Formats: sequence, C-alpha cells, structure tokens
Amino acid sequence: MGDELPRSDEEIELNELLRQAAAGPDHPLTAAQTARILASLPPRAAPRDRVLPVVLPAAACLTLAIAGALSDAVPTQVRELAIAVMVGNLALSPVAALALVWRRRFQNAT
Amino acid sequence: MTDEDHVALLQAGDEAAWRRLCEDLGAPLYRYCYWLAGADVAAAEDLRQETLLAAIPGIAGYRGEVPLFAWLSGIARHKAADARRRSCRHVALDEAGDAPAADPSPEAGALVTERNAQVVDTLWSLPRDYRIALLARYAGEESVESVAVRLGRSYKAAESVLSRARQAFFERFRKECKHGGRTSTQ
Repeated sequence: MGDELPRSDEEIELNELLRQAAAGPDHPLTAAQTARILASLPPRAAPRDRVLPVVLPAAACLTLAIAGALSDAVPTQVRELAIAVMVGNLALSPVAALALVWRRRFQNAT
Repeated sequence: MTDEDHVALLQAGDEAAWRRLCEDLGAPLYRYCYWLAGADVAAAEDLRQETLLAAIPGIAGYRGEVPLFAWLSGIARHKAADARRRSCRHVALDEAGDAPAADPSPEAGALVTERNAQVVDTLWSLPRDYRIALLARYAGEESVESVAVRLGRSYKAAESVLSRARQAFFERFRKECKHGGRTSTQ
C-alpha cells in the first residue's frame, strides 16, 4: 500500500497546473463584504396570509347558527342543530387558534 | 442539504443560503477573479464583489445546467470582459497616440493567467469528492492513503476516485481550453 507507482505524465501535468493556479492569494470574503452582498438581497415576500379565507366562512356559519338558535320562526330540530353548531364552533376555536399559531411558528422557522 | 435545496433557497432570497454561498465559494471565486483580472489584487476584489452582486438578481434564471461555481465564473467572465472594454475605451480616449510602455511578454502572461483561471474554474466545477481528492493529492502532495482518510474511503476506493477525478478534470479543462473559456450561462 505504501509503494505508490511513479506518477504518469497526466499526474505530473495536473500537479503543475494545480500548483500554479493555487499560487494566487487566498481571500475569503470579509464579514463586511458579505454584509454588503447580503444587504442587496431583495426583501423576502411575506408568506400569503390565508387566515381570512378560513375565518370568514366560520364567522358566517356562527352568525347563521346564532340567528337560528335565537329565532322563534325555525323548527325545534333546526334550532337544536344551530345550538350544536354553536357549541362545536366554540369548542373548535382554541384548536383553530393553536393551528394558526403553530403554522406561523413553522413559517418563521423556515 | 442537497445542491438543489441550496439553489431553491438562493432563489427564494434566503439570507442564510446566500451567506453559505459567500462562505463556500467566496475564496475560490476570488482566486478565479484574480487570474481573470491578470493577477491584479484590487481588480479581483472588485470583480468578485460585482459578480456576487449580479448573481443575486440573476439566480432566478439559474436552472442548474452547470455547477453553481461555473455559473458564477460565467458572470465573472462577462464582468471582466465589460471591464476590459471600458478600460480599452479609456486608454483610447486618454492616451491616444501615446502608446503605453511595452510589457516584456504580455501575451505569455495573459496565457498563464487565463490558464490558471480555467484550472480554478474546472476544479470548482467538479463534484466535491473529486475536488478534495485532486487538491489533496496534487496540490497538497498527500499520499493516496491520506486522501483515502480525507474521503473516508478505502485505499482502493480513493485510487478509483482519483482516477475518475483526473479524467473528469482533464475532460472539462480541455473542453474549456478548446472553447477559449466558458460560454455564457446567464
């Protein structure tokens, strides 16, 4: 394993090419130069907010349910259904709020 | 993170991705610009900066047909050509009829710097393992055993990587020399 073969012409040429090209100075970007480049990045577009399309139908549904529950004109079965929708809506609200918060956090993390 | 993921983040304007590009490719890009600018330190700094600044709006058009470094070197080449044209115009306007002192062999010097630029471009356009192996073995004069340790492979596997890396290097390098530099990828 230690006895390596003599270098071929190609290897000698490669050795010469790499040594010459590596002879130039080594200048990584300084922090200031990097900052200048990063400063020219365009501001990232904010992720599209899809809260309203979710909240509006839910609010409309709740409004209808409240109207149904309070109205005397609707049959009892419909009123019961309206009350069930209201209760369900209230129960699910914290879950929806949590989902929105988690989504925001995930977007900010990435 | 794969190269594709990195490019996607660059295209999305992700600051961390651009910082990583500056850290990973800033030094080799400088070396490329240094040789492209005829071994002029100040011009190389300017050229690198201009290249990276132009890469930010240009990255949207990058489709991954060539390695990222090759794409950057293409921008640098264009910028250098623009700078040369500007400088020729200035010389023509400012020093008309007053020829500059002749360099001992400007053509030979230009050929050497051009070739060195092509070596840097070729090397940094190769897959990472190939580049590490070639640099360690032929620029660092390391043994094959040492290259194997660097790559985390067996001696035989390292020999095989070196052989394929040499072949890939010369294929690309000769193509570059034949075409007199990269064609535009922007």
